[in-house]
Amino acid sequence: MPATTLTKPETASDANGKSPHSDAQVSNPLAPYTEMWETGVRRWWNLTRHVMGIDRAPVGQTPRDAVWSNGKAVLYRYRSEKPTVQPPLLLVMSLVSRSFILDLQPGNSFIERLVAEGFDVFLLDWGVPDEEEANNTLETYCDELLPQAVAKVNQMGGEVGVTVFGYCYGGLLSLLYAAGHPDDPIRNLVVMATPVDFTKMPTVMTGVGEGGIDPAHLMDHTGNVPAEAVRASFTLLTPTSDLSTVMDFWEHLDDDKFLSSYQAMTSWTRNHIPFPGATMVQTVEMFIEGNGFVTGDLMLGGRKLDLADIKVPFLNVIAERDHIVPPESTYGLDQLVGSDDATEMRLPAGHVGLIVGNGARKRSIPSMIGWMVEHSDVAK
Amino acid sequence: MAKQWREIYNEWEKAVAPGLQQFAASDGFRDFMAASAKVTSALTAEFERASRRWLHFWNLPAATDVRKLRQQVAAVDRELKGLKNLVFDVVAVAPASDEPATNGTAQPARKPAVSKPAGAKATGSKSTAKKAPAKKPAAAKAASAVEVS
Repeated sequence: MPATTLTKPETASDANGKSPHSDAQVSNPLAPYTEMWETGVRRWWNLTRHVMGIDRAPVGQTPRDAVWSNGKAVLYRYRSEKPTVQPPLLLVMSLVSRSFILDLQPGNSFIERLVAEGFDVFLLDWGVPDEEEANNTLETYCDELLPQAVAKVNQMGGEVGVTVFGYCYGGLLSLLYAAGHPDDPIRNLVVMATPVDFTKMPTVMTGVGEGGIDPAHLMDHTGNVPAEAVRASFTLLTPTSDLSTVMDFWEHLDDDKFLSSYQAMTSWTRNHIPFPGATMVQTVEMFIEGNGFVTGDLMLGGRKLDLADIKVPFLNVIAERDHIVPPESTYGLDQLVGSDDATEMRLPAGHVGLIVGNGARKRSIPSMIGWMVEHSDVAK
Repeated sequence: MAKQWREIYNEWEKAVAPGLQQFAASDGFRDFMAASAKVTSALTAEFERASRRWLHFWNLPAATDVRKLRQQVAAVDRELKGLKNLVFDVVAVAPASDEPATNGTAQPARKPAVSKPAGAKATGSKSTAKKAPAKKPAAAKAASAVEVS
């Protein structure tokens, strides 16, 4: 119930000049106070259950099965009655955040929507790195794990190829993989909110490396960049955002639906994962210092990569209000790849708003699905 | 009334946020963070060294020893996976080379995971399936080797 209705019931009136509560007040003059009391109780109950962690909003609810793993990397397949869209879709997650953002809540889930639209959806989750993954390099992800996962998806999907879909840093990995493995069964490549031109990235994100923070100084005892440091770098992009979130929480505390969304989102935004140390060093050298995608100076596993080797149908999804990967840092990627069918899709959304929320449900997700369906075979 | 505090906050944020963002993106702040990270890292290393010496003096393992062990186990694990892939490669190629191929050349033992997908559209036609097939059987083999289900 909006606060204005509660605090000023006597001033709210309809077109005839009658208060909407007038009938109720005639029958029960205490109605506004009862309502105020109920709201107050609801606020305290919601606050209590939030603080105590009671009845937390569940995330990642779409049914799925683990079909393959290597180390901490797990490939999930989402259950579907009968997928009507081929080839299967492989979602490649970023290395710094939890994958449940792609399947946040029922009714607000990118994956749930994809499954409903007939896609055979797979998700490659990298897991949470520790000492064992500290020496993981870009080669580990792009030359070992991704090719293995794509081969598995291709096999399970009936050997008709795979649509690879990378989100954020997952898009960067997908680009490197596709450029380095042009003969792999990639049918389409989609990257979303993926950094390309690192000179256009926010200073906070690129303050590591020459003249800035030594990557070695960022690493903890596990040899990885700790999750807190990853989170701090995102917080510094919008220093007041945490406080604003608390304000939103307090303002809408009586709204159960808001609380549920709030818990789901904050469990993602405040729950980053460590970044593998060796990959960090490589990212700094190859992209932050070398701006490899733009200069063409890309080396992986001792061989030179060229984005022009990506010849499959390609889609670059750009969020126009993205403050993490600004749109200008990702423009022109369609010109760098060698595909004859390369599209740049600019959507009025933020980094996460591309896949979460009303805007995503009404605009972003249908647009992306439209492109993928157009580049797939759909069973009638 | 209920909204008033929010309006005040919004006004405050509007006034303060751009300055804070600018400060966080400034060279001065970056230098401060770099120096701070360096000092923290040095202090942590020094503390670890001291505590390790103390624990070793009492013949006790330190966290750094456990860490080293875990990293070694991870390295061995990686090497093992590499060897496993190598074995799969050898097994995949060996029987095929014994069979006489119709065109006089050895055929790959396994359907490659690199073929052009059936029904692929003409767009981006310079793309897949143009090179020799069994280029990367290792990846496909390793994939099936570590299957979960």
